[in-house]
Amino acid sequence: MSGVPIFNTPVTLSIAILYLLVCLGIGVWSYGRTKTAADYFITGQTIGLWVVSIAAFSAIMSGFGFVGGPGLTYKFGTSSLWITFAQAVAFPMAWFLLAKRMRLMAEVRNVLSLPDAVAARYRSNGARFWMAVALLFGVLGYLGTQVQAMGVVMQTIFGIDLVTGALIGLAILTIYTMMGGILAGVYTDFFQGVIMIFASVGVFLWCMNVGGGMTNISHNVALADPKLMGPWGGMPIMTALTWYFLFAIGNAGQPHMATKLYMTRDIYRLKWGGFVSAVAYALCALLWMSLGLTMRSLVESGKHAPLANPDLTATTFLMEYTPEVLAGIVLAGLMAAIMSTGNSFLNLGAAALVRDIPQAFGKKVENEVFWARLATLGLVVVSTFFALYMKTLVALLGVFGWGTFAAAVVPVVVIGLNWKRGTATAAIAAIIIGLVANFALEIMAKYNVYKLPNGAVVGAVAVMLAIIVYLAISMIQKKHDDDSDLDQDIKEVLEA
Amino acid sequence: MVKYSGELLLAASLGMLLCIWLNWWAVFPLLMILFFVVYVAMGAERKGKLGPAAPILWVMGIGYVILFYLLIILYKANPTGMPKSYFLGFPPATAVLVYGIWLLPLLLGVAYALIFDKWIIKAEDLNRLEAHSWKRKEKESIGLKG
Repeated sequence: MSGVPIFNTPVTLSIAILYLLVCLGIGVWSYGRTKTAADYFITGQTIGLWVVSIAAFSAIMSGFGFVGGPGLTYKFGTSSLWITFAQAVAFPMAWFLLAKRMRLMAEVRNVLSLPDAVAARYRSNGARFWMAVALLFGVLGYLGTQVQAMGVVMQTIFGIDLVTGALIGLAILTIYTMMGGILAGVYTDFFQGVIMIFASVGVFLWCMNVGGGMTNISHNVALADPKLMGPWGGMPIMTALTWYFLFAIGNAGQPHMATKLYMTRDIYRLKWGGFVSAVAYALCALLWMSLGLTMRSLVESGKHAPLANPDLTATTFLMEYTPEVLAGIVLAGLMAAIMSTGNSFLNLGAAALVRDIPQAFGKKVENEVFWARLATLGLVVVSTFFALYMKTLVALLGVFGWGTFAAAVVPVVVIGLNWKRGTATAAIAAIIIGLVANFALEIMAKYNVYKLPNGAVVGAVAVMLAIIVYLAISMIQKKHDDDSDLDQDIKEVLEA
Repeated sequence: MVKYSGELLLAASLGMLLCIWLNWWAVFPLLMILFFVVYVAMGAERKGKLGPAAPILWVMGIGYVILFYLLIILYKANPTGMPKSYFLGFPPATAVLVYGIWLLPLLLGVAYALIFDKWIIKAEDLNRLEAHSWKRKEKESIGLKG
């Protein structure tokens, strides 16, 4: 990719190499501790408050938060802040709705994945199958975008070409994921989350210094167009509002976040988890907000030439305005964001292939850990192929990743685990409607066939449709207080 | 509210779709807040009651309504002109977004932790679950076979 700044100074290279070595070290350490499928997929339920909370937040904060987010802020002002600000309420809401239910589900059943929970809740292998399919679609899309982002970041740090960079980064990600499964994943997520927090706070302080304080930054950006510093930014008001809705309720519907709730040593470790995750994410949102606005302020005040591509906002600022050490930490944080999300998706995809889909057809795979490691490798190969040779498909899948997960999981799992009237038919219908609505509306918008009115976000509308279908069908099929289709232990989980 | 949570979520979702098509952006937040409150209430409910979660939901709902409509009023006062003043670095309406709509909901996480021991999970829940656990029954049946 031309125009990508190269940072291969001794300091940034040292920090990046040290970071990659620590990730590999965690993989090696976890290898000896990963013996069963429960170890591979849900850490054998051995982790505590800080690790699960930071891992949950770092799985949600992908590379987009470090590159795409500041780029959107540079271009549209405050509009995209509605995405990142939504997480402050999203994590506590996810804890209210899911933390207890998911952890109790793991207490009474051998659930290792989200489709496991769906099968237990609805007594339906059909619902399990469709949930696994929805997850696979989302996983492939997200993985493809992470592979592409990895290539750009490795190119930025090491000055190598994009394909080689992507392959080296993926090789490290694959090794530690295959060796240590999700156990390696959550400990690297924790390590990566801490790096992201330090990087974000450091950049925020640096931005305030370079930009001359927040008031000065706001004033300079408003000079270009006052709307950019208004509450909705340069995009339509409905875009900001539907983003807020989608990202606030969709957090609990992200499987890479939700499955982390299975993993704590005991349920009491979840008490402060929602708060810790939300604060950790809020600290990272400082980077999203400050970097884009500061860069725009510098451009509008004539101190910097306009950027050719908003996605270069973060790298340009780092290269030209921050000390090498901070740039190195932020670039490590960016790699961390990509790898922590990628690892979670590899784990989810492996579970869907090795466990969820076979079990939906009544088959049980022997030696799940071996096959999960193989499936992880297969997913890396397929997603790399997609990322390098089917870029349009990846762009499409990546765009609706969050919405796909939210539309499938929010009604069926988040509402379903808190509402006894939900039925298996409604669950299957909601998943299919969510998938179809996301695909159809995104493709129609991309090819200018039909666009949602007033700037509404496709994912938000798809979630609303999936929720409406789920609730309406359930209400038609089931009366109030009828819980005869629930197993006794599941009923206890829903009533606790 | 808890008994009709499904109906309320359905109504809020349909209402939000209608707002999107009619571009009723000033009404949309009201329905979104209704959705959020009912959504959290579903998670906080125990046997049809909200217990100590009820005041939390009231504060959440009313707080959100105040913040959103304060933001809208301030925005309407100067929708496209240069900001006339700044509050802690931002134009007034944007300051409501940053310091209110962004940061205040973090308190919901504190509220969850504060009611955790006496409402979210109790020892008797775990005992009841243990009695009905499939996992335990599976282990017992394996033990019997052995």
